[in-house]
Amino acid sequence: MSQLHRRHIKSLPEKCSGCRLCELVCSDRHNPNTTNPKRSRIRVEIEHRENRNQPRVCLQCEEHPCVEACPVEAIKIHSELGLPVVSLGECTGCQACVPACPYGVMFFDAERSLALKCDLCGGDPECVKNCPQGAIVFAKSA
Amino acid sequence: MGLKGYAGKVLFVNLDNKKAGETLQWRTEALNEILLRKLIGGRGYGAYLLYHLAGPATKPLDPQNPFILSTGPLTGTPLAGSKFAVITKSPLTGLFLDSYSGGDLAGEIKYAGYDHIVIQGRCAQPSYLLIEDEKVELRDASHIWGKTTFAAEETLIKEHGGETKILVTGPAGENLVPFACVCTDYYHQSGRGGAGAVLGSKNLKAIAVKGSKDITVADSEGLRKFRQYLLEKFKKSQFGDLRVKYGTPYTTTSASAIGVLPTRNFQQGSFEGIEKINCFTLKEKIWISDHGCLGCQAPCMNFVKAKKGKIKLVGPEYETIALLGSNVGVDDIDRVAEFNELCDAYGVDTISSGGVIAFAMECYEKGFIDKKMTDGLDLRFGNADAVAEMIAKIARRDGFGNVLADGVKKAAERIGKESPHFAIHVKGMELPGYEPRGAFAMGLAYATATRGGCHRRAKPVEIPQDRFKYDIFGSEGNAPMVKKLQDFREPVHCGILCDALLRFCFELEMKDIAEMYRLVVGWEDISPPELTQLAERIYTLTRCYNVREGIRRKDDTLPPRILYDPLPDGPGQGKVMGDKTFNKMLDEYYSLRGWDSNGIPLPETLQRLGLTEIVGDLPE
Repeated sequence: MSQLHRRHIKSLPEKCSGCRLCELVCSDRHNPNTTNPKRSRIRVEIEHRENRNQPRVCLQCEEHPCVEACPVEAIKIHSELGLPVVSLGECTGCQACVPACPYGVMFFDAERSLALKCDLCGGDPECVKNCPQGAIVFAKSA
Repeated sequence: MGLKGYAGKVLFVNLDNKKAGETLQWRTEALNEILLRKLIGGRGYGAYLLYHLAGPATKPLDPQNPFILSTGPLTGTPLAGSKFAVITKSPLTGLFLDSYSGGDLAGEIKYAGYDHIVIQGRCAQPSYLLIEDEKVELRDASHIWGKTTFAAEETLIKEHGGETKILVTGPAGENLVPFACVCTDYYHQSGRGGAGAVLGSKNLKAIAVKGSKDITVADSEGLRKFRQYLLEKFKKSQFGDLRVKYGTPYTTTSASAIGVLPTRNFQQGSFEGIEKINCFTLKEKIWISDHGCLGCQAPCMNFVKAKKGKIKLVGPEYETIALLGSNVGVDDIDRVAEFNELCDAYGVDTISSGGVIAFAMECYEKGFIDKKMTDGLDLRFGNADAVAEMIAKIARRDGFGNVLADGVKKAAERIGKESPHFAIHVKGMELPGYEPRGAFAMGLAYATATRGGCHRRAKPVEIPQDRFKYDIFGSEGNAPMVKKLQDFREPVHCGILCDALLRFCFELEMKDIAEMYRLVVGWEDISPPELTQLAERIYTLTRCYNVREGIRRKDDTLPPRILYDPLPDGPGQGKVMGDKTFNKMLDEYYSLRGWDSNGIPLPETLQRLGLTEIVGDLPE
């Protein structure tokens, strides 16, 4: 198994300030020179009235319901990373994977009709590096 | 367009007496690329738009006064805390107004595809504007008209979802209170100068924006390195940690100690009750968690719960503690938080509210007004119940509230007697939380700020004495320092990023700002001297706006109390600024700016700055 097996991005909502820098750097990392939170694979769910900020991102679960839900097998276990990764050329934008995810962290880029899933940036997650609060950490699954 | 960072377009909306559901007139215009290098965006480009859209014939509450939402090329990029500005003719001063706010809306305007949104006209009925990329619609606002900012925003978020970002005004804006603010994300305000009243005058309760577009940058790899550089700067900065830990209130105690904390309507510069309202008390008694603006590495805002959880808000900031704490003589952080929430809910500026209520309290204590006039309120300093009551009365224009609701300058005209002597404003805008008699340069900063009594263009008290030599109780070195501080903020306010973040948390210099523009926009050869000249250009452009409105040297002044009376306490005790010292600073300042002795920009200055064509003929 690869080095990323059983690793995921863990969020610590009590530390999150709701700045969404993670969304900005994620979209930029996966689409160089481009910022667009609606293309980010991590989203901060913000309830401003209570200052409740919950970063939400793929938990890299063992079961891979997204892989099973995809009718065209566009979500594959990456041979080196050992994680399910969306194959951009093959995703048809049917969104079957979105409700299939029990954690609600399969996002959808409506403009380009593409499923968005965290791939841990290949082992060096940009969001973790940039979070000023330490509210998202690169964790090992139990 | 070849330049990165920009959305590339200005959206012009004409409300034109339309009702919800009717087709709106709107159009987009490409940004003028030749002007971008001269004015960048934000405050600079917004000033250019306002200069051409609202001349002296346009009154602030006229339908044709544009309500301009401005962003800049740095807004919404993964760089640092983003802001937007409201640019309009101020109902409080009748002059140029730029009022900034953090919050998610800043980025959303650009993700919707616009750098600036210009709204003119007036709706036939209470409405709100919905902008989703190329969809621009007028919606019925009868269900949220009259509601607090919190209730109205909550309703619109329920209707449109959390991805839609809302700018909303409160009852004060509807009632055309000239210091009504606009709010977004519940707790962020463009507080100063009355943007809320301009929205109210347009029958527009809110603007809702949702965007799906990309912002492209020139060099995201370079930006990645620059963010690391910012983190290093943060670690080395003198105040970065404190700023995050305590937020803006971290200077409350020091301000009182050096005698610049306005107390009891600027009768004193230090407050005996400071320990009950300072940052430590705030942190210990009411702080819950930190809150950050879009893309900010140093979240400095405090989410608090006060009065046993009944009051919740992000705040109170330093200015609110000063103006609605010490300046009204209230030494209870719970009550200050309560006043803050009331101001936010009704949609009034906390600074102007505190200023005008403190003024009324002094009038009351001096016997210029009595209970018959104050609707029975015992308006003594320190009476917290009366302060809370007055905030609501002002926003509703109810009874004595209506006397104060037009700002301290007009309130003094109505109350008369010796009250104009202690009506603490510059050009009609109430002064914020720094007493100029404890640092004379602050007086020059207030007198020369474009929007009136404002601390956000230059704040000399921010300069530690060991870093920059200037004359606290004299004039030496003050004019160049004020100009330098103002000039630093211009390219930041064109960005638009948070000036406080860049100055206090990262201690950036002009070369760093130039680097940001290089990485985001792709201006390879942009340099600090070019940005300094750009700053001079924009400062003079906004001055030309005010000159065209009739502003001259006589208006660049300070309240008589500040100019002629000594402070009774603090290090500034007994010191009087006086006309001589003040005029010396002002003369030197005008000369540095290339303005004549009456404060009018000289033709050769306009020529040098490339403003001649933009500005046209200035009056003599």
